[in-house]
Amino acid sequence: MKNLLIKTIACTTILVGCMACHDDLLNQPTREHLSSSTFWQTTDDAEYALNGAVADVRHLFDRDYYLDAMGEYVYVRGNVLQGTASNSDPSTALKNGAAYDGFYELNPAGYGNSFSNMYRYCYGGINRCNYVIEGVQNMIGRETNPDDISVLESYVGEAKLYRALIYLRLISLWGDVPYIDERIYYKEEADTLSRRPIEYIKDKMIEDLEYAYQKLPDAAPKYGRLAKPAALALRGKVNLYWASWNKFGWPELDTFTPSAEEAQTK
Amino acid sequence: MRLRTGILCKRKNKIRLFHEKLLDKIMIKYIRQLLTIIPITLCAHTLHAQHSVNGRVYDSSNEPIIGATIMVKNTTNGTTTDLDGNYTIANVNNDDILVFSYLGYNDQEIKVGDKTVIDVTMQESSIALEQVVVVGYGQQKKVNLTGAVSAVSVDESLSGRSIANASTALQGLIPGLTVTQSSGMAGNNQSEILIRGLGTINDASPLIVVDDMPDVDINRLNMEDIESISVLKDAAASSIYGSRGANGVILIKTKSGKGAGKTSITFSGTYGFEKPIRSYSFLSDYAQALEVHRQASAANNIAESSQHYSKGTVDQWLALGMIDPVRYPNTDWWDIIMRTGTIQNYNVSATGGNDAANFYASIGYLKQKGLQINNDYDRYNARFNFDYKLFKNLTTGVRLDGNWSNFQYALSDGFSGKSSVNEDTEVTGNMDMQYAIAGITPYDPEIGAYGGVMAIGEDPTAFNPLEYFNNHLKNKDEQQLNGSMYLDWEPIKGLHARVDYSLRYVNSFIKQADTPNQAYNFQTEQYTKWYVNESAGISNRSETAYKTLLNARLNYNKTFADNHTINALFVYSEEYWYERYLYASRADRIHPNLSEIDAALTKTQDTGGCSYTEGLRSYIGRINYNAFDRYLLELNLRVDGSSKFQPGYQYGFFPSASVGWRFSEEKWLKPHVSGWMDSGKLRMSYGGLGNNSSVLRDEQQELLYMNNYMLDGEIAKGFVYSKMLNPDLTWEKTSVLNVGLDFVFFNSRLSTELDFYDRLTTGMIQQSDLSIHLSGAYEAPRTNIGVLRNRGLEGNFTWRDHVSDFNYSVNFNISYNASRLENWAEFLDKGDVFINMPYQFLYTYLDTGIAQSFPEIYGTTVQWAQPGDILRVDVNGDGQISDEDRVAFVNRMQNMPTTNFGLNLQMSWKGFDLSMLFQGTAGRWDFWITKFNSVNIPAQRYASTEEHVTNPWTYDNRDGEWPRLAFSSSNQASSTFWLDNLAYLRMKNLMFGYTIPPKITRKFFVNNLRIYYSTENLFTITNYRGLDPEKTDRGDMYPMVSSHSFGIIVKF
Repeated sequence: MKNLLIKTIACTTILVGCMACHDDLLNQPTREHLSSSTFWQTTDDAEYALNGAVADVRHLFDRDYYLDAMGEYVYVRGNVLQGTASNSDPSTALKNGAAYDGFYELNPAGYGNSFSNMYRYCYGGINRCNYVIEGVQNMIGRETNPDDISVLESYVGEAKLYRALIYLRLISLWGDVPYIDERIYYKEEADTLSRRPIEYIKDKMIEDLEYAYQKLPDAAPKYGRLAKPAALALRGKVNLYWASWNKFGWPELDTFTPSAEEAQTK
Repeated sequence: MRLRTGILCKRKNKIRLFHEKLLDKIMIKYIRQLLTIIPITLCAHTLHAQHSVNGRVYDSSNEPIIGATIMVKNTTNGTTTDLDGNYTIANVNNDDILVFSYLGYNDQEIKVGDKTVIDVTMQESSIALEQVVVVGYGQQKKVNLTGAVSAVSVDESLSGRSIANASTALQGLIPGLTVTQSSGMAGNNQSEILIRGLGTINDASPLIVVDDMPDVDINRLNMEDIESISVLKDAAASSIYGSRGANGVILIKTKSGKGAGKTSITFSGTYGFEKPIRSYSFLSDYAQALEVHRQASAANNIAESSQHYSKGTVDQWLALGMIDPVRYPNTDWWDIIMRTGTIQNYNVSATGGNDAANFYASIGYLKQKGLQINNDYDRYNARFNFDYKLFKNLTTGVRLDGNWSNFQYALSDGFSGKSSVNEDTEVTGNMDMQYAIAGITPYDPEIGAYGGVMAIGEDPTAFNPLEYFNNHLKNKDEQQLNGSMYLDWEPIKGLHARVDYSLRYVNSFIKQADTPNQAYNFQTEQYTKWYVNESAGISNRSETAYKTLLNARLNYNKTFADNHTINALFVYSEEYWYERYLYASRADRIHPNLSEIDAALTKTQDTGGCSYTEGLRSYIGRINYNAFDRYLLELNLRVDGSSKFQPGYQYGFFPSASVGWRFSEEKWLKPHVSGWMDSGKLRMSYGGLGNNSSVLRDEQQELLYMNNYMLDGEIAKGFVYSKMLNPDLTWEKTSVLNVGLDFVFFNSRLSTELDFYDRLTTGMIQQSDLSIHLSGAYEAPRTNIGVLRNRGLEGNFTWRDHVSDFNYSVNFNISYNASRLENWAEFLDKGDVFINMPYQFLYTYLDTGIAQSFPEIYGTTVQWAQPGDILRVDVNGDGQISDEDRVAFVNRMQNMPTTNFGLNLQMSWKGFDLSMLFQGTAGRWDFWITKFNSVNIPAQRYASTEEHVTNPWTYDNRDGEWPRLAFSSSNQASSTFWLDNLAYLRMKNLMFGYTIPPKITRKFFVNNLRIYYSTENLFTITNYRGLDPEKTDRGDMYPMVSSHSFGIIVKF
């Protein structure tokens, strides 16, 4: 009798023990979506991340014909599907041309009220680039194979190039703007950004473009990707714009004082 | 069957007792009783100073008690009384004490002495004082409770009602519990339950725990299986459920065989039918409906030549409609698609047992036919509960139950709702009774086609409900299996170690295969639009889920120094959820008679599937301290760790403390009040609870979503991080303060419970705002913002008494709840949710009624009104009518009532019993603005109601109750014209039954036979002009239903 009792108790304890060995009970990663803890493992992953960022950034520049002939408002048939710009996720809105929503007007009723879309989505693009740069740089830190490292660095370079391109648009349209070059983890950080002078941003852009020039390959791996010539061209353009502003002035931007010697030396 | 002979007296009494208790045939018992006497008298002279005692056991009304137990104290020598209350017990010594016991009566101990005949009258135990209430992970005597717990014991007056699910049965019984039933549809008529107001703007439904297994679907339980329902309302009671107890907990215990004694079998059956007592009376005269359209168009100055429906169409329909119902139909759709609903419920259950083992088994069948045609719901339930004592201090048991249901429906809410198997697809908008015009022929058997739109100028997408309910049926099969096993060991007295493991398994399968068919125009004799395309396909959706629970608990109970009792409990618990779904659909069925996926072409297919998991680990502790039966203290702590949050944020602490003082037991008070007050208790509790139900399982994981583009003619696969995380996201926290006063007066005849509570919910989860520097890339995360306070009072009063044979009891419960939104961390615009205002208060325009003439209109603020329009008041005096002219009513709520009350009367006399349940609410005011009574009717295909003909204001009908008909006007704005007080009183249940006298039924071996008649929703008293003041969704047009049923219960 007692034996049986002891055996029963022992069995139950073992049973409970086995079941309690469910150590990862509180670790239940989602199976529906890709989790970043399983991402960032190979160079392919880095390329996917870069592609994801590029897929959004390209829509910031794909309707630049709106700016043809220096016109402020261009008459086009229609742009964004009504109501989708603000409600849907940023990538879908961008594909529908949400960034350009303020660049065209059928009639002056809403005079310029969507102009901030371009500002908003430019920063969206910058956040995408920052995310890619941080993720790939973490991978470089872990990587040991020099071939892979150079591939990863070229991805970082490409992302930095895109970032510089976006900042060029930002400063040429809005002058002094906040400068973000790191991934933002807490949304409250973005609530207290302040504008930086365009000189500061221009210096940072040139730094990015230098890095891009160093790390990008001589020829693009695929049609549509960027390579050294692109970095050089953009660097030249930035310098040219800077020199022009300094030489001819930019009266509307009252925080900027042109300096003639800047125009000569840079 | 074992015959008694003289040999038996030499065997041990123990074995005879054991066999006695296993016998379950009454006849055999009778014979056994007879035969027992023979060997006893034969043996009597051989034993020393032992004799037998016999006698009769009565209750307080001098009826014999069958099955009462008589034991010799501290031995296993015992017997039970027979059908006449007689007993005989042998081998009794002079100094033995006989213990008489029976469920529901006080035990009596009588010293034998040298008596041979001992008759006993048993007293009913005081129900109110001895009542035991189920609480989290245990049970407590009601007098010792320090938390706010209300208990309902489920007896025949509850389980005999013809309602299909347990949630609806709770309406009107418990103060603080609001139960709202929105639909009477078969298979989808569950009620929403809220405890003590709306605790949060997110999911505020309470946790349902069945037999210690949380997270069970209350609506699939068989009402007959439920023994008791406890509602845990405050922190002291619910904090034992920690991160899920913020909205209260409903504990359900199913029946077991404990204390049942001999086996008894019960059969019960009810048959009921239901009819609508209030529904929208759609106009079946199509010519008149077209006239209503024309009138509305004319009011908007549409010229005759631009009217959709010409005078000729109307006249032709008027004339020919009388002689040709196929070509010029005037269909009353309610006649076609509505039928008398029926509900049948059959149950067989058996229970029995002894000291060593007991069981409860039941099988049930529920069959419900809904009001709309082809809406059927069948459900089978089976249950087996078993407890067995392995050794003296080791018990094991099992609770096993399963159910299987089949549900057929066309629209998921009855007459409206979602139209797809994938239930997240919105209804496409054409399946709505407002489009069911009278000018469509339902079906013509000669041609074999469903009618379509025929009138010239009518919108071809009008709705043919018969076609929909016949050809768009969905079938849902669902099976559930719940099992749990436990092992309970008592190594030393007072210490229990228990391990239990439960598993809940659910599987459901929904199938949809619409029958292709085309509408037929009987006037032009041509087929017109396709109701279901020939290429329509088949879709299936299968969902499987299981949940496991492991509990290991230690419970120690000890009384020190006679007066101090301590009970300590520690539980370790693990829960795990797993769900999977698979969806497949194909278009192009190969033949209309086939309806499986394989019977469709593979050209167009769509599939989906995924799995989800979640885990929860908890540590629970509770200490109860009871001193002198007067001073009570309880401390609870629960620590929950959930997989929904990231490491470092996973664990939450939920403590609570409560005290109680039974002041009626105080020595200085007791002598003064013992005449009239049996028990009085003051209790107070405070604690913290959590609610994690609105946090999604993957919300706190950093996820990447696909974002591709085309590069060089190929897809460049890309992933982006677009859903920004809020690492600080945590549970919604609720802290509850509860003060209660319980009394029992006049020898348990009157018992009252009063409660005051204050619930503060902080950190309600809402979408937050995002800076413009982030919103171009990220979606805003949700954060814990929002503080909501709910304060309220509850009262529960019960009077129970009898006047000779007439027993009656009256229970009245009432509760009042007021809410206030105290804080909201982000910007709130003017609306019915605002800081320092009740949540969703009434915010309305004021108006002065319908304008009768232009001079009247010129005297008011400019609002582009005509005679027949509602004139709104310019409250802020700015010369225009705008959103700023709305007025707030702080005491009127728009979506939920503030006061709930219920009155429960039960009477019985001789064999007759009558019970009535009234239930009502107050404090809710809402607008009667629905699409079915709209005065801004659309230009085409609107199914007007009969009120649209008589009520709107016209120059000939200046007393019209409604404003004028028009295409568009501002008459549908929320102003006091449409405002109604939604307070109502409803006779929820009336049950009249008769129990045939046991003397007659026992001749047929039946212990108890009761027949009864029960009716639900007999009448409703309310000022609401709309359909049903209980409905929360104004657009819900499911008719108000009343049901009548007959039932029978037979106990063997």
